[in-house]
Amino acid sequence: MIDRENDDDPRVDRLVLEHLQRSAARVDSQTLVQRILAERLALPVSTSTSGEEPSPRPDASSGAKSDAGSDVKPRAAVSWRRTVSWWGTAALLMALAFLGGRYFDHHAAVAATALQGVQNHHAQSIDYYYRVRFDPDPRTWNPKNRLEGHRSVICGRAGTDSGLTVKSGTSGSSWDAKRMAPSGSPGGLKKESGSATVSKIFLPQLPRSARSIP
Amino acid sequence: MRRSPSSDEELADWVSDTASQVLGYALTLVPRREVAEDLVQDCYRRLLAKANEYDLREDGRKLLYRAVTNACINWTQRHHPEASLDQLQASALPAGHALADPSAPEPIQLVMKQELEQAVAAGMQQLPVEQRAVLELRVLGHSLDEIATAMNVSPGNARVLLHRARAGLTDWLRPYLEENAT
Repeated sequence: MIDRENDDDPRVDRLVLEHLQRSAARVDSQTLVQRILAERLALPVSTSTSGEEPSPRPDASSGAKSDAGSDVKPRAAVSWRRTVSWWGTAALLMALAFLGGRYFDHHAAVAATALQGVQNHHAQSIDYYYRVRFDPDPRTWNPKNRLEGHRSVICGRAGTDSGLTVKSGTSGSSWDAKRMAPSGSPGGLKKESGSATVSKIFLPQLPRSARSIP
Repeated sequence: MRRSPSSDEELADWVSDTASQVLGYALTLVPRREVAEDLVQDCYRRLLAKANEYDLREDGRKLLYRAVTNACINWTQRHHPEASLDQLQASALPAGHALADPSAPEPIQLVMKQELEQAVAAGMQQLPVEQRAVLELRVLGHSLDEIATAMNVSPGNARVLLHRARAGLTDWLRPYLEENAT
């Protein structure tokens, strides 16, 4: 029910109503009705009565597509699929990058394998020239520990806080030690590379030629 | 209360009966036809999806106008500027539309009628979209409470919007109204 205000000109309302009626009379809603019913009944486009193709949005602008039809089912379905596809691709790429990184990661080593390889290598009857790479943790390093002894003793220190793992006991040769720190995996060792530092502990024992190894 | 499902024929008839008016209403709120059709189609889709929950013959028109009003206002508020008055006047009435009618009135009356119609269209267009929607819903027979509910405003705000819309359009049309009165 309309409760008309007293101070309003009824002609204005009548003109507005006529304006609305003209607007409704000008539009041809057949195509829209076909689209609505086709969407409602999920009928194929070719079943429309007029034979025209009631395409969902024949000439809708991009603005209309992005805002007005954002909830229309076909567009929403396409958007949903695109979103899932994008995230799926991103997840796949991240998984591949992770697995690739694991594959090419040479920092992880198994202690037994590494020590076995070193021992096998040292068992060969050739001269060794080593360079000491020693960078102990100052929190645990004891300056009185000279790390001398038989090769097996030194190797047995692998995985300890001292970090020195390999040393050749061949008489007259140079020394080499690669610092190996305990890795996160049980029983694993982690090789560390970096600038070579010759510990002063070994300097008296190293021949001059061993201080600069190419 | 859940109602019995409406048949597809009933829904089709209801859509056919209401589509022209609703689309014409939407075209007065948004300047582009393809946008208006998109909005109306989306509103129909959402309403028809819940056709079993409503009596569309009784309540569907109000629900539809409510949905279309909100959709059009939201779209209009996100897209500026609106259609220019030149575009509106160019599309308001096709050239030679009435001249081809043999029962058309005298040319001077026809010109005055066309001018008034164009003035109404232009006057509506210069109103803010909320005021336009309130005024149009009002002349379509909706109560102030229904309009307030449809636009998510209080009845007092709806009344203010309606008053401003009428005042603004009356001022815009004053030369034409005074001319017709004399």
